[in-house]
Amino acid sequence: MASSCELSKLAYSKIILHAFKYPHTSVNGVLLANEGSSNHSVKYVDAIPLFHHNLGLAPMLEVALMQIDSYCRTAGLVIAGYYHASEALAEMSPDIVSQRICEKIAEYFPNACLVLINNRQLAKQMTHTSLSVVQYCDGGKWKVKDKENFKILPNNDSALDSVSNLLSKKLYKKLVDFDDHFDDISQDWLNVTLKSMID
Amino acid sequence: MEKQSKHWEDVRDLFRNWREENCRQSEDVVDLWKEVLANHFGKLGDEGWLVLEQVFIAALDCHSMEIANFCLSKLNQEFPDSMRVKRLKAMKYEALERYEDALDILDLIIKKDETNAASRKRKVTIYKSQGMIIEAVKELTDYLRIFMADQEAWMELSDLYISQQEWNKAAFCVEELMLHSPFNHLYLQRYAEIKYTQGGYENLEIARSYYAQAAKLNPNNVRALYGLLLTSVHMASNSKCPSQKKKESIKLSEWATNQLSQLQSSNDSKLFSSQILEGMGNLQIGNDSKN
Repeated sequence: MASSCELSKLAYSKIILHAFKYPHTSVNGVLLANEGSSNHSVKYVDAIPLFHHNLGLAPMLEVALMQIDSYCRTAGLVIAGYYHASEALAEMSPDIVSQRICEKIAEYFPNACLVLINNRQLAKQMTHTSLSVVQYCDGGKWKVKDKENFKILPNNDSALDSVSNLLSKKLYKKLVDFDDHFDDISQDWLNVTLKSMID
Repeated sequence: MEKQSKHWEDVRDLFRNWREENCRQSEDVVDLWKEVLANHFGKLGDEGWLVLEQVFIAALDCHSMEIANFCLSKLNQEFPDSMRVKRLKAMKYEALERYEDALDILDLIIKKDETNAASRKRKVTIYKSQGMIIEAVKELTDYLRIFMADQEAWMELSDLYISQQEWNKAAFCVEELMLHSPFNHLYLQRYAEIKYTQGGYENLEIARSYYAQAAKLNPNNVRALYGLLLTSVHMASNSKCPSQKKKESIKLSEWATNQLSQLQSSNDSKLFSSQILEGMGNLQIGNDSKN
């Protein structure tokens, strides 16, 4: 049974904006789904950008995940996936750090998805979703998700238009990730103001 | 007319600041160049060449090849035999993913001048861009055998080792940095992060002391404070920890919590420590610190 995976416009926009804000480094973040989501048909409703420096170091990752987890409990959400954009233009497979983090997420949300950004397809005027998805299966295997089983809401084309619009307004400058938050604690990693601009 | 003149001077000063602080503000540099400075290039004098170099690199970053080519041709005209301009040409090839051509130029420069550090470092970035991390590491370690005082290079090597999960080697690089600058709280914090990620009780203790020192040097370093809180709580709950150190750890965690809540005035300190304590057991990603 092929399971489907959907990404809300908000989650998708944040992923792309994060990649655009830091084009010269790798970036990563987690994906949130509603509590009680079935892992056969997951809808990611939000994305929380994490870091753009030294993604492989554990302490700040743990602190960030704790804070996100705390937030999730108040908002009825769960950490259910992970996204990553590699530093090198051509890199297309998940690196060891991404795999480990996603495996950890899968302990709490089985079959968590790992969304990889296809750097080459990114453009100011987006014509491709520029994402590829692998899913963690029992036994430690990674299964590639076909394009039919993965889509962006409400539909791919309107999501691409919407994101291109955000890019033209350079809204990625307003995105805050956890690295920004740790540099200046007054910055909001929940990106509440940005959310209203995206919707 | 007067407003416009003031404007270009402000942009020139801004560019100067960015050059001095080595900031990567490529989009802004290109935009400001197009809107303002390009029309006033003649007024910049000798500084104009530095600005051209800066705009060139920023343009490569943004893949604005027209601007990049313009800058490069102007620089080439003025400094036809310059190694520095040749290196910029190699960077252009790098941006166009013509890595072999870029390497040819760089090898030529290095052959002519073995002390040319910048060209050697560009070779490292060429390997890194292609995802050839092992070659990048080799090139960088060879470089550091000659240019041992280059802190930027040690930091880069540490980052490369972290991406390969070679914690001991990454820690060694940061140790070199700490020898150069023992009061740099960022290096201490980075060392603690590597040690924590490495895992094991001894490394946890080491991490805690380095986080503590970093927080002492700069009580506004949020990462050091969180790190101190994290390591103290882990140590206090670890069976290997003697009771004296447990009490110490608890005191440290309380201090860190207070500092954090002062910095983030909207949260109260109880919320922090309860959040952290709640999450402690579940979300450990680094190697198991409880051993």
